[in-house]
Amino acid sequence: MPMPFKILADILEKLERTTSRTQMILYLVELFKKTPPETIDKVIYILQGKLWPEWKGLPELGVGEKSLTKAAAIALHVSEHVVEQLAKKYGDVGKAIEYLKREKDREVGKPVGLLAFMPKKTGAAEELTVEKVYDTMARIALATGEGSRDLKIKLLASLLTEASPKEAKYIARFVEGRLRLGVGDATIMEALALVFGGSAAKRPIIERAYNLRADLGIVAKILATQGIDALKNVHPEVGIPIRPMLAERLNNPVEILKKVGGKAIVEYKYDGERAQIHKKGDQVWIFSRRLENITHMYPDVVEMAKKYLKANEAIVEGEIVAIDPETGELRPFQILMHRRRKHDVLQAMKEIPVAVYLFDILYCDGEDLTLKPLPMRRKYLEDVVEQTERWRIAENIVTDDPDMLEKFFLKAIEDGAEGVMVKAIHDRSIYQAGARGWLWIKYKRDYKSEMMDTVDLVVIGAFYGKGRRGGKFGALLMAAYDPDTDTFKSVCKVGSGFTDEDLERLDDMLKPYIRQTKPPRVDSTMRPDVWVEPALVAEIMGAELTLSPIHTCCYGWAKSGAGISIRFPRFIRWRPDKRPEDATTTKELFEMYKRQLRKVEEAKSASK
Amino acid sequence: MHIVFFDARVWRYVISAISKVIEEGVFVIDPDEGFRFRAMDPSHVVMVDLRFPRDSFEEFDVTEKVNIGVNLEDIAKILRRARKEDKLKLGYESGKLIVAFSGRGYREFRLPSLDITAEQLPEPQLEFKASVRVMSDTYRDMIKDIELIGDVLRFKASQDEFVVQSSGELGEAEIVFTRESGSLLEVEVEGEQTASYTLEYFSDLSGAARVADAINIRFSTDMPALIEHELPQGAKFSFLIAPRVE
Repeated sequence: MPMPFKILADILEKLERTTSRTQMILYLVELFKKTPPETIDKVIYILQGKLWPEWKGLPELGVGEKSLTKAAAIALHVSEHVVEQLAKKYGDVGKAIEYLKREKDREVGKPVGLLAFMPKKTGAAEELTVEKVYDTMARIALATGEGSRDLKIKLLASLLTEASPKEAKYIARFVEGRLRLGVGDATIMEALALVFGGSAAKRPIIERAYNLRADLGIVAKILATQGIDALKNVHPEVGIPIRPMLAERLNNPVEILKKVGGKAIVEYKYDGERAQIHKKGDQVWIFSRRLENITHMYPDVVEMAKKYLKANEAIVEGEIVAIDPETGELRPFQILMHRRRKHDVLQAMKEIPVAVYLFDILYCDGEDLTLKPLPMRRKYLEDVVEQTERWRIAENIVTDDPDMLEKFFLKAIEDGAEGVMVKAIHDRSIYQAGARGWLWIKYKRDYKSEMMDTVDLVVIGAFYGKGRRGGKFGALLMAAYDPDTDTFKSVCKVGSGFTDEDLERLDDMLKPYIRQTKPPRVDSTMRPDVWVEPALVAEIMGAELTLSPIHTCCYGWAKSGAGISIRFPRFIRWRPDKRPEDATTTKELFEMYKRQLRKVEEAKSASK
Repeated sequence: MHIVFFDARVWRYVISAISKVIEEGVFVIDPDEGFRFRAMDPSHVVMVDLRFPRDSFEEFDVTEKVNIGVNLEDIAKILRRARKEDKLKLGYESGKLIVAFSGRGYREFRLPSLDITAEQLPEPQLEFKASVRVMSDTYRDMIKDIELIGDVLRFKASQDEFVVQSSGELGEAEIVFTRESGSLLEVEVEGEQTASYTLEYFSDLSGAARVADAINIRFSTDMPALIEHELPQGAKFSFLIAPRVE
């Protein structure tokens, strides 16, 4: 039995007029009771203001205001100008269409469209149905390519022609993406629980099913056609994203460990894009944190998943991070985002290579792991992930010591991560899909010190390169000068910013100064592949000055157990005019650090 | 079954014009009636009707009625390949529509038939108080003239004159057809009749006039208009368009 669209339009009107959530739920209950079970998915999508879940990667309607105006002009047999003027007056094309349609209805004897001049078909006048509205919208969305704009307009015009004034208003609003109902997923689920579960207490069952299958339409359809018990058996399915588990935030290591139950696994929180990677045989899907299908942006990750995810069916989670292909070092989030903006994916893949750091597994060869504690999930993860340089398990430690946690945190920052994730490992440490809770706690910096100017640092050691640079020097250990003790204290390891030419010359430049043991004036706990007598000075720039548990520069000055280092350092040029004693001093660095220390603005996570 | 028409270009221009207004529909080939295609555009403003009677075909080998679902744009693309002096053959074989040109050589295309049922369209029952007959090239010129000015055209017919008017931001246009000038072949009017229509449909469908001999325009005040194209061999292409009442 098809469902008259009028029922939905009437409820939409009521919903629009109320701000009370209780009242909204009552209207939704009324609506769902009148909805045939096999149509409920379409009703839900319309309430959500979309045609299908974003993750399906299907096109949106693709009808702009101009096209909508044109369709309305065709359907109403008026000029586009008339529609535009009225839309301006009411601030809403939907309202304008409703008004025009009402006017036309009133003008007796001035019919609209050809059908008015023809003998009526047998039977009652055909009513617009939810199915017809939805299916036509779907056709509009799926029309692509040459001439699709005209087709979209024609299809929309036919809907508006058949609709009543009120129906036409809501069709137009839907098209514009401006239903403005104020009905959230939670409200819809509550109403579903009342109608199909008999009580609001059943909402968690629906919620869990929705969290495991991010498609409220499908969940509602299972509920309406098979009952609430069928939902209890909903398991993750490869290809349908699971709503991600989210973390709370705290900034005190002692408190953090207390919250998660004393002992925890602590992982680098990488500054990249969170990705849920699904694999089924040879097919791979990648979903973003917001459940968009981003598979096409990461063909390299797809390849890695195919090769190194050793399960037939699996859903794993990790962070995709931009890396420096030469050194393997992490690069900031902004670099990764360039890849999103690039049109030529293959080119972007070459310019901005990525690594994947995996941290969880939710499903493996028929087994739903979301209700298993984290340590067990980690075991599964270690079993199915064959680690390589660029496909590996996130850097982590297990600890119950706040000092260890703090040290690891500083190291994470210095290495280019955003901070750390501290995760509970007790028996109840399940994967809470779609929920933010205290099982996971993120620890990020409150303050940071942006680097405004370059510094001149002294080479005290060198590292052999990887990959293309194998066998030759690829990175340098740099130090600041401490005139009080006449020593060179380590600040950072720099591997970026060198031109091919710079690198070619490196071996020859360093040769006279290479030492097998640490030169007496050098102070460093980090051990380079070879030591270098302080002699060469280079100009270095970075993103920030940051606390470091490894480097000896300004050790203990800003914080006990930590020195000062440079985050995302890069080589600018050699300074042959400077002697090592002319390099930036530890005191100067400390001053720079203090001067630029600012509270971290929490803006990025929203845009991410 | 198969049918052969002597000039593929007739089909080329007519189908190409229709495809601008109608997305898909059903070709009906009947052993008695010949070929017919009727469809209404999604906004219910225009209904097209294309008929090739049985006798208009050089060969007509049809034993039972067939319905062939087609996407008009696809067919139009193929028909655009028709060359001068090509004959058109249409056939239907195991679910596939065959479109073939025979002239210099033989070129055949096969397309799967779409699974659509013919829309049940009502037969219009309208009395037209004005009936005008014009040459197809003056008709096409008239549309091109009006296109310069506005997006609505207004028909006005009286005893010995047929006038088409339009106005827009640029100004106004008036095209006058009279018997004396030879542009008006016939006119038959009850009093004076005027009505307005959306120009866009006329523009989209004007391509069909290229292969028509004469055009019959029938309408009444504020009522639909029927634009009938006389095609070779007694074939006819007509469209009925709803009036604009503003």
